[in-house]
Amino acid sequence: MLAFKRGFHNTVNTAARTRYTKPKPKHVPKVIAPPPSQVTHHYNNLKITAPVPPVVQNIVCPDDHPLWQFFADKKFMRSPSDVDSTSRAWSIPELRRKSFDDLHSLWYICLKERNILARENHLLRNIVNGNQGTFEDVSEKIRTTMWRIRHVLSERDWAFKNAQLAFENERANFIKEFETDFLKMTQEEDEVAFESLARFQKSIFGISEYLDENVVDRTFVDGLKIVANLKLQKFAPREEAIRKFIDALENNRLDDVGEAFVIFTAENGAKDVKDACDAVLDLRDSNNKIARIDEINTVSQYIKSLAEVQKQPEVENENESQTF
Amino acid sequence: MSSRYEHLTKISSRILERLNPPKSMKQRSEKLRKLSLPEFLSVGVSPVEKSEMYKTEKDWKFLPGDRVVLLKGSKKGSICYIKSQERSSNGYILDDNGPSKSVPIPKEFWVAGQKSHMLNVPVPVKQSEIKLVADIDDPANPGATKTVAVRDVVFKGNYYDENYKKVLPYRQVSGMPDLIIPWPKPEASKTNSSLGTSPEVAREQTFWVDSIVKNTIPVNAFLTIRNPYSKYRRGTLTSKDIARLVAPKMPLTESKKEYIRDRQKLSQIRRPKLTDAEKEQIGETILKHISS
Amino acid sequence: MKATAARLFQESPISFLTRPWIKNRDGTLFYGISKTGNRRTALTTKQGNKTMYKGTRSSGIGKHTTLGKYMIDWVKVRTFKTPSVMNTDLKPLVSDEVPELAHTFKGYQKGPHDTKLYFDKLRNYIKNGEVQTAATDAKCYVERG
Repeated sequence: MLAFKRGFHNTVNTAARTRYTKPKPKHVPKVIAPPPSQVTHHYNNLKITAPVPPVVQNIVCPDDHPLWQFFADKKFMRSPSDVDSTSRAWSIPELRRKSFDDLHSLWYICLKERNILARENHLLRNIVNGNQGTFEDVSEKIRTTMWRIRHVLSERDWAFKNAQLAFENERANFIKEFETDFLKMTQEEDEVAFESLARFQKSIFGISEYLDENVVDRTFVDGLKIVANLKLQKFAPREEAIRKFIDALENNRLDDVGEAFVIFTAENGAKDVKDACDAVLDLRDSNNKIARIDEINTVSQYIKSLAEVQKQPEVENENESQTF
Repeated sequence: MSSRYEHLTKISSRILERLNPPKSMKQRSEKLRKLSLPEFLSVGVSPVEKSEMYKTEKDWKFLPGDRVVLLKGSKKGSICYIKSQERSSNGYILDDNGPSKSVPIPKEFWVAGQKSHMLNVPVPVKQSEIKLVADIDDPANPGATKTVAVRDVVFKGNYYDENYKKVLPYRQVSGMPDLIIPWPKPEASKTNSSLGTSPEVAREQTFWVDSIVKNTIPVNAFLTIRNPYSKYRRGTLTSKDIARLVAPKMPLTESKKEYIRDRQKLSQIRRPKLTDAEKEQIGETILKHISS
Repeated sequence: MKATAARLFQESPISFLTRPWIKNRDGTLFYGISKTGNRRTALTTKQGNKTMYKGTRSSGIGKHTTLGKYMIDWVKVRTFKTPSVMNTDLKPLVSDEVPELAHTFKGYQKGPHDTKLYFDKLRNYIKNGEVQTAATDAKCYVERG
C-alpha cells in the first residue's frame, strides 16, 4: 500500500472569526426611486364649467386633421364616376426621364392614393355591398406605376454600376475628347466652354462647385491636375507669361498638386490665371513640393481651410456665394 | 368563416390562383356557377382563362365602333355596331340589332326609368360569330361604293394613330394587301382625369445622366428598391464553392489508357498523298469500268 | 321525357327572381355565388378568438430597463424617408391625352443597361448641359432610350 501522509487543515483556524472582530454592517438594499414616468402639472386656478353636451355640433374635426389624408375630397366615399378610370399608369420610358426626387415624390403620392382607394374598397366590400370594380382597377393601375418606379430605379443603378466598371478603359479617351473640344472653342465662346468644364469636372472627377459636397480621393486629385492644366492651355495662346510658364514645366504639364490647386482656384480669366502662375512661381522658391503619397491629405486640408475662409466673411457679407 | 380582409393584400390571391379548380373539375364548377348565379347577373357567355384573354388589338380584330354582320343565331344576317368589349369572356357587345335576352330584375337593381321587371339585356357574341363589314369601291359602277363582309383581316406594319394615341397595326383584308380597313374612331372619353398627370408635367425631363463617380440614388433607398432577401436572388459562386461542388475527375482505367495510346499511334501515321500518276491511274480504271 | 310543370319550375319568373333560394339573415335575397367563401386564406389580425395574436412585425424596437422603462433603439424603428423636395404636381396616373412613350435602343445591344449608351448620354450632358429631349413634347411617342 502506498504510504500517504497528509497534514491537518489550518484554513479553519485562520479564517475563524475571533471574538474581537468587528461585525460587518447589515446589508441595506440600495433604494433607487424611479423617476415619474409622466410629469403632470396641476393648475391651481381650475374652475367648474357647464358640462359640454355630446351633440354633433360640439364635435368639430379640424380641417387639417392628418387622417383626412385617407379621404378623397373629404368625402365618405366617391361615386364610381368620380374616380378617374380613363387615365393610365405611368410607362417605364416616362419614368426613366424623372429624377430620383420626382420618383420618390411620385411613390408617396401613389401610396396615399392607394390608401384612399383601399379604404373605400373596404367599405364597399363590407358595409355598403357595392360594386368595387372601378376602385380595384384604379388601385391596380397605381400599383403598376409603383412597381415601375422600383424597376426604373434598379435599372438606373445597374446602368451606373456597369458604366463605372467600363469607364476604366474609357477614361483616357473621354478626357482627350473633351480636351480637344474645350481647347477648340474660341474666346467668344468662353462662357459656354467654362460651363461645360464645370460639368466635366463634376461628372468625371466629382469636383463640385459647392465645397461641402466634395469628397477628396485619388480621382479628385487627378481631376484637379487635369483641370488646372486645361485652364493653363486654354489661356496660353492669349498670355505670353502663361506660355512661358508652361514651356518651363517638365513635359509641359503641371504635376505638383499644390501648384495645380492655385491655378484651379483662380478665376476663369487670362489675367487671373497669369496672376496665379506668378504666385506659383513665388511659391516654388520656398520649395515645398508635395509627395504623391501626401496629395490627398494636403488637398483635403486645402479645401477645409478654403471652406473656413469662405465661411467667415459670409457672416458679414451674406451675398457672397460659396463657390470656387 | 370567410375572410373579409382578403382584398387588403395580394398575397392570398396569389395562393388562390394556385388552388384554382383543376381542369377535370372545370365543367362541374361551371355548372355550379350557372346554377347559382341569377340570370340578370350572369353574362351569358362562360368566362375564358386569364391566359386566353385578348390583350392587343391584333387579338380583338374589331374595336368598339366597327360594323359587323352576325353569322349565327336568330338575328343572323343583321348588321350592327360593336358597342363595347366584354373582356372576361372575349366577347363583343353589339347595339340594339344584336342578340339580347329578356331578364327579370328584382326591384332593388332597377335602373333609372325602368317600369317593368323584365329588361332586354344584350348578350355578348364571340369573334367567330361575326364578320367585319366594310364599304369598298364598286368596280361594276365606278364612283359608288358597296358594302361587303370581310372574310378575315390580317395585320401588317404599324403606324401611330392620333385618335387612339398609340401605335396600331394596319388592318388589311386577308389576301388583298392594298385594301386597308381603318380602325373606327373612338368615342370621346369622359374628361374626368382627377388622377391623371397633365401632359407638360408628365413629359418634363428632370433626370440627366450626369456623373460617373456618384450614384444619383442614395444608398439607403436600395433596401426598398430591391429585396436583398428575395428567393429569386441568386448568389455568386466563388472558386472555393465551385471546387467543393464539382466532383473530382475520375482516374482513367487501364483499358481506356490503352485505347487512348492506340488512337495516338493511329493519328501519328501519315496519310499517303495521291500523286498525279496515281490519280491518272484511278481515272483510267474508272473509265474502263464505265465504258465496259 | 315530357316536360312537366314541376320540372319547369326553375324557369318561372318568380323562381328566376328568388334564385338561388338563399337569403341573407335579414331576409333579403342573396345573389352571390357562395356564402361560405374561401377558407384557405391565412387569418388576418382581425380574425380568430381572444387567444389569437398576430403581430404586425413592428414590435421589438428596443429593450426594457431595470427601472421599468423602455429604451427605444432608433436603428430598429421603421422610418419612412420622405423626399426632400416634394413634387406635388405629379399624380399617380397619367392623363390619357398623353401617348405612352416608347424607348428604342437601336445600336445599343444591352438596352438600358448598355455602357455605350451611358457614355453617350454623359458626353451629351457635358457638352450641352440639362437640355430637354424631344419627348418633352407630349405628341412624341417614340424616342431613343
